[in-house]
Amino acid sequence: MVSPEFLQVESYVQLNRLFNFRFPLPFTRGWAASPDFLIAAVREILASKKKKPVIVEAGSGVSTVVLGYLLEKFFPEGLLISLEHDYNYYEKTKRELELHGLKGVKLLYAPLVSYLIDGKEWLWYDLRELPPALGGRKIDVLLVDGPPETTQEKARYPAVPLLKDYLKEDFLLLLDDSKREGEKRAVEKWKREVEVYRCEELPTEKGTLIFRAIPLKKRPFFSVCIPTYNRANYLKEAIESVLSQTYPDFEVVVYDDGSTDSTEEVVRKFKDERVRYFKGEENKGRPYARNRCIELARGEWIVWLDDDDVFKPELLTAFAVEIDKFPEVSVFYPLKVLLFEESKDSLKQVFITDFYRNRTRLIRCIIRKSPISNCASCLKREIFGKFGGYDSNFPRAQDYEFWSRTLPFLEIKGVDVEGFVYRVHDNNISVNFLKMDLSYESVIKRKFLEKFSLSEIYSYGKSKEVEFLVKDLLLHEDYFNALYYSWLFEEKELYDRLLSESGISLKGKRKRLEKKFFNFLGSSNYTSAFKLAEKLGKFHYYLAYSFINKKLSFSLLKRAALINPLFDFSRFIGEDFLREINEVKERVLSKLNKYEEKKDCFVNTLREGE
Amino acid sequence: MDKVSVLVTGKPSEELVESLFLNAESVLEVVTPSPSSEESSSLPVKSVETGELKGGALLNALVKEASSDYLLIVKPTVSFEEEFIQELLEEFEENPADAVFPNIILRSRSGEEVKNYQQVYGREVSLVASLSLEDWIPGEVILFKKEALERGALFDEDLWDYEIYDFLYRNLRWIKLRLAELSYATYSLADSFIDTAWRSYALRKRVLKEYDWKRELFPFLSWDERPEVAEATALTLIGKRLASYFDYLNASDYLRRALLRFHNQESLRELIEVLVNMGLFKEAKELLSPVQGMEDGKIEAKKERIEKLESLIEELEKAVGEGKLEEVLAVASEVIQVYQGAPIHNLLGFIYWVGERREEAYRFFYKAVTMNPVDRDYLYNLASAAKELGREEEVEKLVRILVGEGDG
Repeated sequence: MVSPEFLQVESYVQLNRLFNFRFPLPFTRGWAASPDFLIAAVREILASKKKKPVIVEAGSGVSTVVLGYLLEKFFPEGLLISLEHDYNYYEKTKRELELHGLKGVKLLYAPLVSYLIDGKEWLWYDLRELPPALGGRKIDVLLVDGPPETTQEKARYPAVPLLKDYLKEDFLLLLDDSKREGEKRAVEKWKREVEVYRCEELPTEKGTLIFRAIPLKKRPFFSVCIPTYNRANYLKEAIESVLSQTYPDFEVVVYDDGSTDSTEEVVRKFKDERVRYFKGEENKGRPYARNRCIELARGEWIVWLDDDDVFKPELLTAFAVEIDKFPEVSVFYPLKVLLFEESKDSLKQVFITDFYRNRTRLIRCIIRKSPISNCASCLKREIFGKFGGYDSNFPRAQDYEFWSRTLPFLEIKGVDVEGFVYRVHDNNISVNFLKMDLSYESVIKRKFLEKFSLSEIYSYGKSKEVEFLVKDLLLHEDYFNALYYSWLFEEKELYDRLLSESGISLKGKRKRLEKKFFNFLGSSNYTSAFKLAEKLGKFHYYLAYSFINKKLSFSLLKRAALINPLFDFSRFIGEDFLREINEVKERVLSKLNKYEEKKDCFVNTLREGE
Repeated sequence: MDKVSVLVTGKPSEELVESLFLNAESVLEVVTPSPSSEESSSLPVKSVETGELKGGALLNALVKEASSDYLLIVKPTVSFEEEFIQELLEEFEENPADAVFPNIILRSRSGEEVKNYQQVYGREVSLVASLSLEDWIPGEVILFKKEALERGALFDEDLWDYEIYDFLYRNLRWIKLRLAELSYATYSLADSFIDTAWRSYALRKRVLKEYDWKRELFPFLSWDERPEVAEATALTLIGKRLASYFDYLNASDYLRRALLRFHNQESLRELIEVLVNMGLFKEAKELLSPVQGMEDGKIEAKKERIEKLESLIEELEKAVGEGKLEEVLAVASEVIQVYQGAPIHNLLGFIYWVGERREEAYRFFYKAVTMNPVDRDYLYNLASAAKELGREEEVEKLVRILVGEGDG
């Protein structure tokens, strides 16, 4: 790790090289600005590409001298106004400017006086001298390094509301000491007032915040859609997280898909008119609820929020900025997600790939898994008109299905923002891998192969495309289709391995062992069957496990059916459940693309093998 | 095709006979101690006059009479399916091994239970560090190459039980053992009584003497950095293993040595438990002291538990003296769920003895002496029962292997 002292020396050397100071600088650090803050400020002002920047500084000192040099060297037609509330410091800075021969700086003695902001008294610099000093020009850069934190809580907050009328619409604000709690709270208030901005924090000694207001050509209106069903305990927090957004132009569409708990009561308690609640008479499933949300939404942009997750407060602001910057993009999504594990009370950051102008990577990823998260994705509403909504045949993984159908034909962009907190809890349907019916993923992936050929998807490794496809199918335990593709492309070694791993069709010793396995199941000795399953394959593992784990029994049987759809489950389960098992089998056995025309032949080969 | 000599150490069960018929193509002969009950002519049976031979001596007698190069040693209540022996033989074809063993399905009164063994091929010598070979290899059924048995100097004739493991322990440095991963034999547990004293004996006489502690038995301990801690840990691990074989006397010795080498709470806790199981309540309580580094709260809790056990045993013994045998039997059967020490075994032995259930009584006395072979009462009871049942030699042997011989 680089030592803090090194960073300060490095920054100071850079400043000296850049400006070739005519006289020694006063001491930096401590109460004065640190070299790392000064160099960061100089970099940002230079990078802003303003030709005649107007810089206003709240709090004078060494920074006034450095900025004076900056203007002298790079912006002779720029303007630097420094406000100082302490007369002694005013005198000191004035003397420093003289010693350095910096004549163009306008140093104003501006003692702290009272202002009323939102009904509260605030102390800040007397601004009476400022308008004449500005001479009708507006402020490009506002450097905030005062007044001292001892003045009052959030002492630096008044800078933005008091100077609002003098700030350019794309003003740059540089804040020193941004690590301090008071400053952090001041920044939160600024965000709500400015609404559309970019904000970056540099890890300098005392913390430097770079805050840039972004003028939009058009302010987008978002419909944050929350389809919900019996999640009253989490929903309140979800809605609150939307209402706490720093960007205000949105509505919240809550579609209650026939909840039987206190969901309605929870939503009705919100008196904010931006919250719109609709209730369906009966539970019709996620795809239906999502489609209803889209019908009910009035915004140009749909932003999804799962009923048990929460947005981070700057998500909509970040989307608004990117929408303005990338008009060709119709799907935005956050690049960072926070994973909150309730049981461990732990929070960790997860990163998502940015697929902007990278369709090759995108289609490669789609065949593997859903490339982006549905929660906190921001979609142009017109997409749904063009591609249709969510497919009701996918009670789960409907978002993956939708993405696979639409994303390759759209421009999409990841936004560098920590978008939402994804809650991992027992009641979360996508959490328990064993609970998932993965036959839906099987269908999505194989349908995708109808649109994109193997050589298009795996363009980088044609000799290994079957191997890669098999890996991608196995990610969701689609052993049967993995086996089919290895058979189709005559990958003998792969085929034998998959046959052995899956236990779909057994021969010799293992066939004899399988007989014992079924004898154990028949005699209800499930533990022993489970032990033998270790030697037989995944299918036997899930089958035996379904008898041991009563809570997950049906899900495990479905998983067994996913792996071996040729197995007759009727000897183990009743008619009611058999229907769903058969649906799993149908999905796995269905022919969904041109590669699957020989599936019947493959099935016959397997059956003959038995 | 190779054929095996099947060595059965007792009268084969009907299921075993049926299994052998199913595998007749792979069976050259069945070698059993005479008289053999097998009358069928379809399987060649070789009866060997073994007299009173037991354990290693009995097996050696059978090995000497076997004609095949492959010797399948099975317990009489083992059974298996068609092609089982062929499957084991195939392992020899695929890999150079000296012995092949299957997984086991253990059949008992409570049902069948599968035990999947792990493949140990190529890392046999590391098994010695487990100090419990029986967890890794099934002794109920194993197919040896005859030459491997001969190279390993056959079975120790001094051992009445555990002789196969003793042989393996002796030869782990070179022997190649292979699990037939997909093969299963069923072993019907006809008798739940295991004479664990032989396990302790083999461990002390063989393993601890013949293997290098630092390199082979406990290579994972920091012998160079903290030799006293390493040695205390090794001694404690041995103590725990011996305790798991109910050889509390020797276990206590190892644990004491561990404490002397490097005083620690783990060894102390284990030693106290061992003494309690031996019925040495007073000695156990003497260790409960702040001098031993124990916290006051823990001392009180442990003391209370020991005193409760002690008074419970005293009350039961008193009740037996008063002839309340049925009541004591009912209570003792419940007590044994939470305390399985020597006194309760001795007590149950006494009740069964009075109840004329001599065989069961003998076993309880035998277990009590296994747990504490220096208690005069337990020894007296066992010796008296053995005399009546004509099994004095067993008792003599038991005491000798627990007290007289071992690791020295």
